[in-house]
Amino acid sequence: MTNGEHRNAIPNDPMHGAAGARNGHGAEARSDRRATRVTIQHRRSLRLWLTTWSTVLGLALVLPTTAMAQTEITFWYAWGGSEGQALQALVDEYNQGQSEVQVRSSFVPIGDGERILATLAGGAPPDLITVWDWMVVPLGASGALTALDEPLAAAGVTEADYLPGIWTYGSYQGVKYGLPTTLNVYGFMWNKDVFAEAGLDPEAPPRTIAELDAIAEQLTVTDARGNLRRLGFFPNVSSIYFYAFGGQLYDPETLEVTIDHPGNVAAMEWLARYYETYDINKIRRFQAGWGDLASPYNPFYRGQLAMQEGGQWEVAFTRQYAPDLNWGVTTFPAPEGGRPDVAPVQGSFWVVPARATNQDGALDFLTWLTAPEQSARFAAALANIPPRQAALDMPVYRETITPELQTYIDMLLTGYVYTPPPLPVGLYLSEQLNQALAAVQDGTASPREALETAQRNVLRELEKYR
Amino acid sequence: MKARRTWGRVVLYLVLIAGALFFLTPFAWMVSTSLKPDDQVFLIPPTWIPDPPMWSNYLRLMTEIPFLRYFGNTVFVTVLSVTFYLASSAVVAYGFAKLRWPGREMLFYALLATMVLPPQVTLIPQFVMFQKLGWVGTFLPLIVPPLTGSAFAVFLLRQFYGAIPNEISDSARIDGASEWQIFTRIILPLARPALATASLFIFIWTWTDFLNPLIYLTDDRTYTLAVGLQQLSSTRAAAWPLLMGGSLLMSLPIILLFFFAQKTFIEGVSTGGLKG
Amino acid sequence: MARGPATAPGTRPKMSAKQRRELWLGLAFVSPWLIGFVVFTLYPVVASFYFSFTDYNVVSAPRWVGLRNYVDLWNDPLFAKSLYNTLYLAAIGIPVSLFLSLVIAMLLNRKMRFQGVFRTIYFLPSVVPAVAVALLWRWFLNPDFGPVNQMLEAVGIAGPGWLADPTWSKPALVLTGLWGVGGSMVIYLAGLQNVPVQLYEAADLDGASAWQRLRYVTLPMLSPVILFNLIMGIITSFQAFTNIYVMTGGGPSNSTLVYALYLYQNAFQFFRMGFASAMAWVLMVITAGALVLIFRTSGWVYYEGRS
Repeated sequence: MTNGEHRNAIPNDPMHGAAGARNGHGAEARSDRRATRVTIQHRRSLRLWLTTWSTVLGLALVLPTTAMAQTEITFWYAWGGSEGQALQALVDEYNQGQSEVQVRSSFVPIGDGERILATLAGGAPPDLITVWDWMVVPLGASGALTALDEPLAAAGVTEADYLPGIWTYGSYQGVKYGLPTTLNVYGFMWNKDVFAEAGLDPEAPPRTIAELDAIAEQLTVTDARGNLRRLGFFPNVSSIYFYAFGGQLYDPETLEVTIDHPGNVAAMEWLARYYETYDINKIRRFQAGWGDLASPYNPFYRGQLAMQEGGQWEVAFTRQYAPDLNWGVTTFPAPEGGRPDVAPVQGSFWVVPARATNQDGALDFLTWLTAPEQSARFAAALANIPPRQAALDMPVYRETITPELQTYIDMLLTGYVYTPPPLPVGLYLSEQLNQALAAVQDGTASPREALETAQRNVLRELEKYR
Repeated sequence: MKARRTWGRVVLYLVLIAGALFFLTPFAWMVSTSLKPDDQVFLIPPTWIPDPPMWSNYLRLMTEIPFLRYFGNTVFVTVLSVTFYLASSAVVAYGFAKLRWPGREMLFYALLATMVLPPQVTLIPQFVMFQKLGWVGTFLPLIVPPLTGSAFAVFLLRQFYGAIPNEISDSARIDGASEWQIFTRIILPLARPALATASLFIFIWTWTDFLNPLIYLTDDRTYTLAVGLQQLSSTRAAAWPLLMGGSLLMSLPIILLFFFAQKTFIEGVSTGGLKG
Repeated sequence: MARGPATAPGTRPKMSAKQRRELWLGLAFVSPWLIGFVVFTLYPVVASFYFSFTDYNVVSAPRWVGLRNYVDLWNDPLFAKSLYNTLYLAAIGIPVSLFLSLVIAMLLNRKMRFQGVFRTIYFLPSVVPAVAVALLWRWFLNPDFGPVNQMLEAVGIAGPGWLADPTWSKPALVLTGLWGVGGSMVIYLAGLQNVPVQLYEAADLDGASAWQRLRYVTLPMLSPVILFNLIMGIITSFQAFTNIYVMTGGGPSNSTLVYALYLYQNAFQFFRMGFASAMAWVLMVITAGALVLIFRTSGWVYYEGRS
């Protein structure tokens, strides 16, 4: 469904009225010239003329009032393909269901936000924008976004309506600047077939780090030349292990950055041992041959990776690309004294620019869009998890829930949910973590040094925002 | 003697053909992928013959996004841009190449310098400027600046003009021809290969430009293909066959232009085209 | 009122009528660009220079910090690394590309069957989207089953990790530049058309060998175009990053983090537009320096019709 089709559905288009009036005048002029058929045609054309003119008059009287009652808001969304179509369907439903606020939506690739930043800097932004999560706090902290606390309260939405730990996602210093569209959560996946083949119990994934290390080693296979043929496990998203080892990237109470937390250092040391044991260059070489993740050649589906970090979208992906795969998902293994129930969460956001012209219309639409029913439909279409409790129970979402998806949902409901630190530095922090990881992989810094460097850099960057 | 010549030619052909096969690979892959069913795209090593060939991909391409509208927008923007860029650059380059005047070298360096500054840092102020002018949301930021020339084209044409001997223009000058007449009647015809080359490159950049249409065309009915094709993909899975099909259709005009215009622009210069 | 060269000491010589006319003519021809420069280019350029002395995240007003960004640059290991990566790729990639595209252009300039087809084929990779090219190179250079390594295996050499290995990723990137020679090739072809046949005929009469023809006729006549490709090669290699980003994302271990990529990250992902602007102006200075050097030593360029 494209915007072109949508626009034809808007009633009261003034263009049609004007054309009709023109046709009416022409008919009258012609009939005047034909005296022989004056009577009948005169009457007919007069009738026609009167009808047309009164229609125009009627429209002219009616139009301004309907136009005044109608606000048009501009909405930028970044989903294409079937996901975009699902969102467009929601937009159309909203438009057709009432006439006070009409949404003019367009597909806008976010990329790294060039267009969004430009339009916010330029001063004439759209009314509702879709952004990545790392953009919300930088934009909100700079005053470019409207705070959403009041509208949410006015709509009767409270913390209890959202999944645990999600209420503060998108907030900065206690002020909410964006609403999550849908949520992604990572889980620990394992390939049951590979387990069974190696003589391991396919229903018993590793629960501790020690078990993980042992099973990973057992399942790793190299060929005669020492190149990897199967990797037992490869820790990729380092923050997961920071939290699993009892560390954290920031203190949720004081909101201080704690990249060099002892738990993080311990996790980094474990990661360093991993890179050394399996030789990071051999791993990279192996990874170079991995197929696209959204295809049947995903290394996990093909058994090249026996255990991996995977998000809830894998439920839909495996159904499409690897229906015969036997896999399971559970919480991440953790060391003694760590957190056994880490639930890493990410998502995209809807934000209202502070300088948008139609704040009320945008907020009205946003409230509707994030209501449980719509949230459930959109999350179902994206194979994501809706951020609202009530949405989980909606039939349209309920019917997509498989045992694996239920595991992901349970992790969100009962686990230790953490989201990226709410800082105005954008991707700077995660890039510093990447750099720390790279330094550890190269052996140019010890885990502690690497994390301390990252901590220093982020703190220095944060100084700019005081 | 003749035998050596023949062997030489055989080797030449072999080398060229081997190279051509290598250089054909990306294009061949693009064609083949555009016809693949979604799950065959990422076989490593790649397969070359889709099985079965999904001609319906092209139908999907046309219907899932308003392809023809985007195509039309792209044609509009590109044709105008190329025309404007070329017309103004041809004139400006003459001033740098064939005329002597104080400050010429300085300004020429300034021109080159404008190509050096990475566009990422001028993007925002430039946008704000166009916003103040009220041009954002229209095609104007894309088609008006070309009226002031392209540094690349000016530089290219300046080099080519500089290689054209001055005898004819000098004698025309003595005969009383104005500078403009010399430019249009003598230099321009001789610079045809350069003009065509410059247009080719400008055409390719404008046709495939993603960033400028993205930030200046706010109404998605006016999107160009480079932006519009993005709408085919969902966030996790790029719609490769459709993207490649779209890119193929996008590149066809360029390829056809290049192939058929070769006679015009690479050959046939009156001071002596060179063969062999 | 004749104006002669003699003037009072301490004053600038007035321009003669002829010089004034020439200045007016020159500016007239150049005016479209000049106007564009003042109207469209000057403000963004000056703005970016100003931003380089500020902390600026685009959505807030810039805050003056003086030279702090430049100092931070100096102390930033990633700045040094990205500069090194870029210079490495330029130093090796540009000569290779210049040479190769010239060779191909000269080969394709000879009369032969399917000349047009060959030229089009060698130009084709330039119109294929970067994502497709990246994917294909990742396959070509795949350490385990890519054709390149398999060919090396056949002659008994253990192929390196190419794009997946920090030591080999830059050489791999140079290889991937191979498909990009189509552009310079076309420009050379256009340039070759301008070489007058008469010169070759004269050379033949003098009994010149193929090598002498190349050295004394072709190359000098092509020199304006060689200069062009050299300078454009420098400018584009300092600014290129999309292709590299799609292929390696800057890794592994920052080995392919090129200057423009790091700049881009700072500008849009880290909200450090001030820092990115400083990076841009440092690049500007370096490139300008390189260009000035090249122009100063460009005595080898021969313009037949130089004013």
